[in-house]
Amino acid sequence: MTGYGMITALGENAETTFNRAAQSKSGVAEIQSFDTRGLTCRIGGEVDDSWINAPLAHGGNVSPSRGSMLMQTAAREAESMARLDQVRNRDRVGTILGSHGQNPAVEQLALLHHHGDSETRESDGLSHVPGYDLGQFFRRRPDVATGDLARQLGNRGPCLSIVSACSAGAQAIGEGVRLIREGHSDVVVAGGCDSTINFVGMVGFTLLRVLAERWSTPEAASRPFDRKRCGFVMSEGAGVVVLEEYEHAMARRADVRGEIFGYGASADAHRITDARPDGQGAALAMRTCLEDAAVEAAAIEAISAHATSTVQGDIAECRAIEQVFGSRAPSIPISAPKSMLGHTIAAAGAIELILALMGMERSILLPTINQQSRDKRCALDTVPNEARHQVHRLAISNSFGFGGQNACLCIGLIDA
Amino acid sequence: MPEKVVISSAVRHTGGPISCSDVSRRDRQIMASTGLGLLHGLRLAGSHANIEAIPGSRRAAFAVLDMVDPEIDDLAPAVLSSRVDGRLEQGAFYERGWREIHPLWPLAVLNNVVFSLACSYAGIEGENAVFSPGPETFVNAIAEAAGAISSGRANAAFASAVSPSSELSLMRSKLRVPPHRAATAGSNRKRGCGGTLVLESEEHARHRGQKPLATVAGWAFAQQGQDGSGVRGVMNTALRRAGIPVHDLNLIVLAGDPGADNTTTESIEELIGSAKGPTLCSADSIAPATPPGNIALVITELMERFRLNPQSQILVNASGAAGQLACLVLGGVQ
Repeated sequence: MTGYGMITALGENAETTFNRAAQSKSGVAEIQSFDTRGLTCRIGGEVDDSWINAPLAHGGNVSPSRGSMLMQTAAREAESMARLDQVRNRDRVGTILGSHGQNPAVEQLALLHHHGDSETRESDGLSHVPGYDLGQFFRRRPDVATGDLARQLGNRGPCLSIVSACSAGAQAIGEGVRLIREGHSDVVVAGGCDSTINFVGMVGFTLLRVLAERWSTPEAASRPFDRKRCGFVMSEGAGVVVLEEYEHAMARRADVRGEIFGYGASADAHRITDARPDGQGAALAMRTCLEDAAVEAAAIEAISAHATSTVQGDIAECRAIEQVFGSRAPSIPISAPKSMLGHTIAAAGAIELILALMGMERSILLPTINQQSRDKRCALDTVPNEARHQVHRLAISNSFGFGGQNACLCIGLIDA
Repeated sequence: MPEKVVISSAVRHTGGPISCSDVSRRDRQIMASTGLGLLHGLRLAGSHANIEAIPGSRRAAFAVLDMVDPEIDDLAPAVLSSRVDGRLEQGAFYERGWREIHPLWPLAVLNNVVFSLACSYAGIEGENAVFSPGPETFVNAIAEAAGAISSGRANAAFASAVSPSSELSLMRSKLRVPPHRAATAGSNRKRGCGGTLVLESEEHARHRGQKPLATVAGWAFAQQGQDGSGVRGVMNTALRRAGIPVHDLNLIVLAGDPGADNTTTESIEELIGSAKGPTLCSADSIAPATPPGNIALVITELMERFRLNPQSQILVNASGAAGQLACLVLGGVQ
């Protein structure tokens, strides 16, 4: 990994995000971007608009989705850090993002219903409905953010979009590693972006009853592993890394920040709304990742947990960690970045992997905040409430998608 | 030496009604026709490949699904209940209207949930990913499946793609088609169709008594260069990986996208010169269908209907709406 970048509710770049997380700050607040009256969850992790550095339109008259703009902002940081402009052969530079299309606005859905019935609704007529924004169709497409980024960076190598919800960002990075290992690309820009803090997005997750609906203050709502947790907090952001074949990076004297040692993925094949209570699916992803990395479980010094702050999910992850790490499990520090950032869905896997690497670079284990009364079923070392100074060089980062898609990445520092 | 990866089963789904009687009513509503089509393909392809003895954790799946659109009927009550004097009142929608949205709707619009449900019913617990949503991503799915096999991460790997069939998807498919083709798009192209392949190593397939249908010889991906260099590059790379000179190809399937097809044809002419070249045909001529199931339908049609002979060498091109390109080389087997 020769570069990384992010934009989150905590900050406009990776450095600010990490530093604020290390100070146990929360990016969760009352939602400001739309009227939340009537919703049972009115908090989220919103990115400050002034931090976004992306063109408002691409290739003419279609403005990009907010997720795409967040990604383009994060990518500028990663591109600069990796000095990607040095890489001349852009045919050998791939782009892989985990992303989802933007939710339609209420007004747009309403216009759709004004237009005819099931027999007469069609796009030609729709384009003549006053006020209907045809850019909606493009913003809804999950691959547009990837295409936007490839065009922005001039990457002509493989261009791929992954849509596995909360594990999409991690899967994108894992697949990027494989593109390089298999010789398809020398460099891959990989990550995830998401922006679901809008009315339709919030309603969707509210109807699923997965959002936190009780909190003393917004900052205290996301509380993984805590007994009083009651659901996750929606957030937005983007995280992106520049992956590079080692010799290629050495040849241009790039700064190697860390190495992705392994990637594993699995499916729960269980209930669609719940993780497997025994954690077997998650454990399979972690084991496969360690096998791919050719490292023993005993070598892992830290875990960046998926830990969304749902009752079932956090317990299942703890069971999985216990299965994989056995008697060592209680002594491995486990950080839950979502306690501070909220859940950035498709961006989460990328953001959390970068934070894990930054923690290794700085010998800091990020905290899991809002730990007031530990759930006895999650009796692991969750680095409660305050960051911890500790040298560590090898970690895994978990991402488990809604629907039972599991991904795990193994990352570490490499010797100079 | 990497193991040779073969296709041991190929089934096409032509978009008709699917009967999956063991799927609960709730899951049926979430999966809708796209998910049921995917499940049907996974099960049928798995059955043809006799994979029952392969443990779920050793079965991988890579699928291509377009956005799963909201069913308008799921949303209509909420919109209608938020109207005051015939006009939508946003405040009313926020206050009460949204509660009328069908509670399963949020699940049904997440294509990874639809995919996961299909995997769950098909007993797939191994590596998996959902790609979206262009036709070229089916080649990505095949490449990932081949990678899972050749690296030993799975014993059998599914690659599948299904086109959406909702009203909104029809509108979208019309919008994404270039204007000069709009007259035929959408109305004549099949929706809700696709195909599913089962990949495994040749040794594994033959050991189990399965007769391979074709080899997955090579593939490549690119983002199209403005000068069309991406098209030439992606074909050359796929052929080089397959170890096949362009003159040995019997058939080249063009993507069915006028821009990419023109460049592809020019590139082939450049590569072949005056020698007799392979047969060219358009993906639309084999299987006119909406993305992303169209290329899956083309490949399964080639497997099922045309039957590759041992000397067959086929190159399939695919292109996405944002300039993504993919190329797949298939070979016959003894």
